[in-house]
Amino acid sequence: METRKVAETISSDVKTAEKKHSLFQNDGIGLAFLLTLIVIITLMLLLSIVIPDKKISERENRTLATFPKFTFSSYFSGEFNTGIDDYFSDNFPFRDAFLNVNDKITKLTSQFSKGGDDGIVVIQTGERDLGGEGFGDYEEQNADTGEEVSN
Amino acid sequence: MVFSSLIFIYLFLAITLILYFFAARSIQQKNAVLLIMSLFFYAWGEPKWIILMLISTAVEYFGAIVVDAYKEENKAVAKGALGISVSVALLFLFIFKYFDFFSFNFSSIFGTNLRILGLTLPIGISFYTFQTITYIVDVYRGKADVQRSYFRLLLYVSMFPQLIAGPIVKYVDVEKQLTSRKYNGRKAGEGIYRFLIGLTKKAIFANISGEVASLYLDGDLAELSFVGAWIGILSYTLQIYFDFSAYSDMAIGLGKIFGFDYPENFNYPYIAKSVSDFWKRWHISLTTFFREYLYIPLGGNRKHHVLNLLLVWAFTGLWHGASWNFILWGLYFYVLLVLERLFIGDFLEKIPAVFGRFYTILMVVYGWVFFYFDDMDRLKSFFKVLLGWSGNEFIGISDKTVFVNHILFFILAVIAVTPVSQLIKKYFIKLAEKNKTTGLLCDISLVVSALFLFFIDTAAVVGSTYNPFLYFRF
Repeated sequence: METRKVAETISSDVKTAEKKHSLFQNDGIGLAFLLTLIVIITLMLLLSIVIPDKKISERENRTLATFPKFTFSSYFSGEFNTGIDDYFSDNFPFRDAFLNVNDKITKLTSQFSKGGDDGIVVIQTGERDLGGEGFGDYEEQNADTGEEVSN
Repeated sequence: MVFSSLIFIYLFLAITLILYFFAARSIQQKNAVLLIMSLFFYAWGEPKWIILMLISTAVEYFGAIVVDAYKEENKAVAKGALGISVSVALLFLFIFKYFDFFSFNFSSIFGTNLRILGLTLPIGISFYTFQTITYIVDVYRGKADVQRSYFRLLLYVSMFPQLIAGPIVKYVDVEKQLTSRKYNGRKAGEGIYRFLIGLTKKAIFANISGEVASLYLDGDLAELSFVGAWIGILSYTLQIYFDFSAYSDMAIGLGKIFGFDYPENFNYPYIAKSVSDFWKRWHISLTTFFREYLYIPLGGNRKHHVLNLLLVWAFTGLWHGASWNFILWGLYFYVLLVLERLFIGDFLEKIPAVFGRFYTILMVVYGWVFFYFDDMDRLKSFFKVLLGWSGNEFIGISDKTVFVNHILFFILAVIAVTPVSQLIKKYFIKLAEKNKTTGLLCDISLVVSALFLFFIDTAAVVGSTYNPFLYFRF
């Protein structure tokens, strides 16, 4: 197959060109990078197994998901897997600390956080420490006037 | 399981990487890890219809063996086997994706009472059906060798990085990589970096633009202001690019981590100078598929050119979903492309690029209106507001606030859709290649910045699960 040969030479040319301009220069660092990533995610996985589950989130004012019961019908309906997904997310290590970081990112890129249709936004005040235990207090304010809304 | 979820990164990927790099030694074992994990990945979201993917792959597997056996001596038999196998794959796609749409419209036109199956769409069926078609067609065309191992073909079809959202990888592109993959640390590093870029696009850029878009596009259109409509649709324009190209980035990155080279799927589509240029830059693997496996077999530009284009674009629209708005969206581009070929194409090339770019992005943004609204009444109402024919107010009370609050985000997002990052990358690599020291420093800075991104992304993904019980929503 003549065309195939030509195509192969072209693709191998492209490949050598890529090799010349690779993003990373050192194989050692690339591998160390891969290893670091594996260590980080494995560590987080182990932590999420070891750390005892919390039952409620004071920050979100709700009960956290518990490990779902396995039944064949819940598996085939996808309910079981969704349950695992929720359980894993709700019991992720340092969840509150990550939520605090996320608040900062959101604040940096957009002031208008998830509010209701009535223009109410949740504004967090108070000390936020990354330990995850010290929750900030919430004040609910009217987005336009800044007046506090009483519950 | 989506890539931008905690369970994917911190459970599925953790286990897969450990098994792949530490438990599996030979390429056979590594492939086995990938196959088992891919099937597990698929079954996670699609516990029932995984069987369909296994059967569909089996049909193409046996079909291709017959095609290969007869393609030299008896073309007719080979052609028949090809036709049957491709038809079966398309039939599955039709039944699961289009049957209800078809029977509903058929019944309402002819007054019959065809049944509605009510089947849910199996995840990724639109992608893997096309992938299996590229395999058997290329075996018939002599471009690909027949695959004697069902499991290896299944690995090609089910590889979790590209299974649910593309790119549509042609079999010939990865044929050799299924049995031997060149691997080194640089490729691994580049793969991880690419994955994290995609994760950032999805977890931060797509999600924020999506929030803004839905603020305007999902509300009461009678209350929507002209400015609001534009903020909404432009935010959606950003969202759909970030979302979709993020998936491709993550797929390509993950592929690289395991030694696969997948084709690029996006090439800065929003800087295109014409609509035909746009389609060379947007979802490249899909347009390539339609060109090589539909347009050219139909006769390409040699015979009934305009009809071929019509079919290709009607199908391109329909591929995106079984709904009239997607067909309209495809036909809309058909009209624009025909206009460009016949009349304004040469003109667009002569005028300064900025005009072509402006015209293209405007047409593309109008196109996303068809894409977004599957309800025809809302589609019409929205167009009226967008074009200023609605009598709605020009600018609403909160429009300015929303815009000003997101100004930093919009600036970053607009920079991110242009190839500025490619330019930076070029200079970065030039610097890195200067000598050993700069190479080392650049590599280290990549790792540090990547870990920082990973931290931020994780926070954003955790943030997306933030689910406060808001009792004051009265």
